[in-house]
Amino acid sequence: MIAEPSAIGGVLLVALPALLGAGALRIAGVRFGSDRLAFVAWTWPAGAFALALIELACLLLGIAPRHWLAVVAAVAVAVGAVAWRTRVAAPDAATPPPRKRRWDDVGSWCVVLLGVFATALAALAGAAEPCVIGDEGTLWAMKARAFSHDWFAGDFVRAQGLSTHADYPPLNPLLQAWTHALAGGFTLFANRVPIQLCTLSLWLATATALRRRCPGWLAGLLLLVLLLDPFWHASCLCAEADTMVALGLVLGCDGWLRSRAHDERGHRAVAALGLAFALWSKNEATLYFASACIAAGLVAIATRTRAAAPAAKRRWPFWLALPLGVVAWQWGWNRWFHFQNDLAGGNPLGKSFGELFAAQFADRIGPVLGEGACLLVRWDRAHGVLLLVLLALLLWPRVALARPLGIVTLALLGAVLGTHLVYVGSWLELRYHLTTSHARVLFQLVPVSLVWFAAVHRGDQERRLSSNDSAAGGRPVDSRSSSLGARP
Amino acid sequence: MFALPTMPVRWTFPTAAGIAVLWLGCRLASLPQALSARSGVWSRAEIALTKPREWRVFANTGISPEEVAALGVLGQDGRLIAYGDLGRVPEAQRDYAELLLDMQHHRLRSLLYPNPSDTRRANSPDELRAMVGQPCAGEVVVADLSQTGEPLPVDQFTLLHEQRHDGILVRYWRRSTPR
Repeated sequence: MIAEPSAIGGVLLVALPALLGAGALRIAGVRFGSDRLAFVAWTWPAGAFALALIELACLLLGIAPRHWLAVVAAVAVAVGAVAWRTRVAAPDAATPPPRKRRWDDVGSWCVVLLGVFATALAALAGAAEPCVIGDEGTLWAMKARAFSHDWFAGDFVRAQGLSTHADYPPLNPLLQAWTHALAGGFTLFANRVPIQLCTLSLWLATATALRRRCPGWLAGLLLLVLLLDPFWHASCLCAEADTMVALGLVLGCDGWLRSRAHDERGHRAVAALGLAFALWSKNEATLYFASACIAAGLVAIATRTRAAAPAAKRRWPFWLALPLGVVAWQWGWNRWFHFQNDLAGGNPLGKSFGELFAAQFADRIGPVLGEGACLLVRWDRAHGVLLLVLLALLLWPRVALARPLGIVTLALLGAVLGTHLVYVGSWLELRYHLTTSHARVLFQLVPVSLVWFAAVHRGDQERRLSSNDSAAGGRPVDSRSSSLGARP
Repeated sequence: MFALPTMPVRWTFPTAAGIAVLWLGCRLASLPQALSARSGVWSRAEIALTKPREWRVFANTGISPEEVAALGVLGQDGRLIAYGDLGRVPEAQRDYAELLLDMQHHRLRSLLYPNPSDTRRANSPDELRAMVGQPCAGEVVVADLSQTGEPLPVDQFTLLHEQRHDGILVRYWRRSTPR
């Protein structure tokens, strides 16, 4: 049953989802010419998400993995044909023209290429070891086998029951199952490729989001902070889902900020894709999404007495239907199969999170916050950027809380604090749980925090410009219409 | 938006640059150490490109193609039990022994799945007896990592295959009269 895809299979493994992604982005209204690096970065997650949806449909229809290649190829060709005939809207007047090349752009491009090289090299090095142990082997790869084999053998629920996290979302395993379909058996090496491409996409997506808001040299520095973190190297080697969550968050934040700046349909689609991608990758994203919803509610309440927003920005956010749909689907999926999260009561103690939280709060809150504080000031980690999120309300309240960035700021604050509270109510032994997951899980928030920081910088610049305009007798710029998604 | 005290926001840019430069300075100071820790990446990439799949599996798991072939007696309805008598391991080495046993269990499971789909880990003779005693439609094979050289503490099992890799002895026992 062990097999690896042939050379042609390897090409199809990447090419078909990439074609799906590029077509889906074009249909959604994303223009290649407006930001080429962004389009390249967003292509793989868009294609991977579409691929997983097709595989899920195949599973529900009882189509065996040996037929998936034909189904995916047919859909990819259809999407490509529709995309080819789709007339993408011309850029609106507010969209700034591409900026001219400057000396610091050369530096930032060098860092981007260095990161691509380092990520690809580490991914290749990962293929020296089979994917058989750790979470990637025992959890994610085995879940993928459950989709490729147990589902059709009528043994899915029992096999998932042997997994430690049967309730985890299936995007990562579905992408690995794609390699099984192409290889005609279970893969030990190629199954990492779709996940490693998500890590590469995360690098490119972060790079384009930073370059859009920072001078090139600052974007390069912030990217180096990410690249030199040991977790980056570790995540390039394996097939775990943490970078998938980070990728979804960066897409969600960047796409949403761009859509607020220029009201483009394509960017709202990217934001929806990003949030849905994160939510379908791992359960932590549900906490982050809830935090973002609460943050949006707080900002809406705080600004309800202000002048009404422009009509274009008062629309009901229909793009949220995709991430909300993923949440509803995953909830229904787990209910249908009786999968329960271990933190929500599906644990050997049989106690709910609330019960454990109340019982353990006094003992655990100190050590948990202490661990968090130590992590945020460690020089060998990039987590220090999260410290800036915590300090933003004191350091830059006017910029960090200005609309729309205030929602991101509060969402990140809630995500950081909420993640720590999970450890207080965890059924696992505290030291073990912190050692095995704390820094890794918080690393999911590092790339999007770098993007947030770049947006704060951008907001700061705009605010100073508007102050200068006011001092010179010009009309002050409304912070709601700031172009946080725009090039400087 | 909120009526909070205003602080000089013009410091955002120098703050960002300062923190990033300071951080990078500290990182670059330890760069030789970091590079040496990652120096294996080149040799590992070379291994990935030049060595066949079987070689890489054996080098990393210690499970040879001969072992995998011998375990071909297991069907989907069979059961594989990774066994080690941890009670006989010195206290100081017990955690490590348990980790080794657990890793070997997962390695075997990953390489063989779904033949069998039922794999378990027994840490003591009592656990082994209980697992062997439970009904199983197919073959039952025990991967014995106890390192004692003694016979298996359950009846009706005969030696199927024996393998030594990096000083670790693994003996595979097969139930001679499948139920």
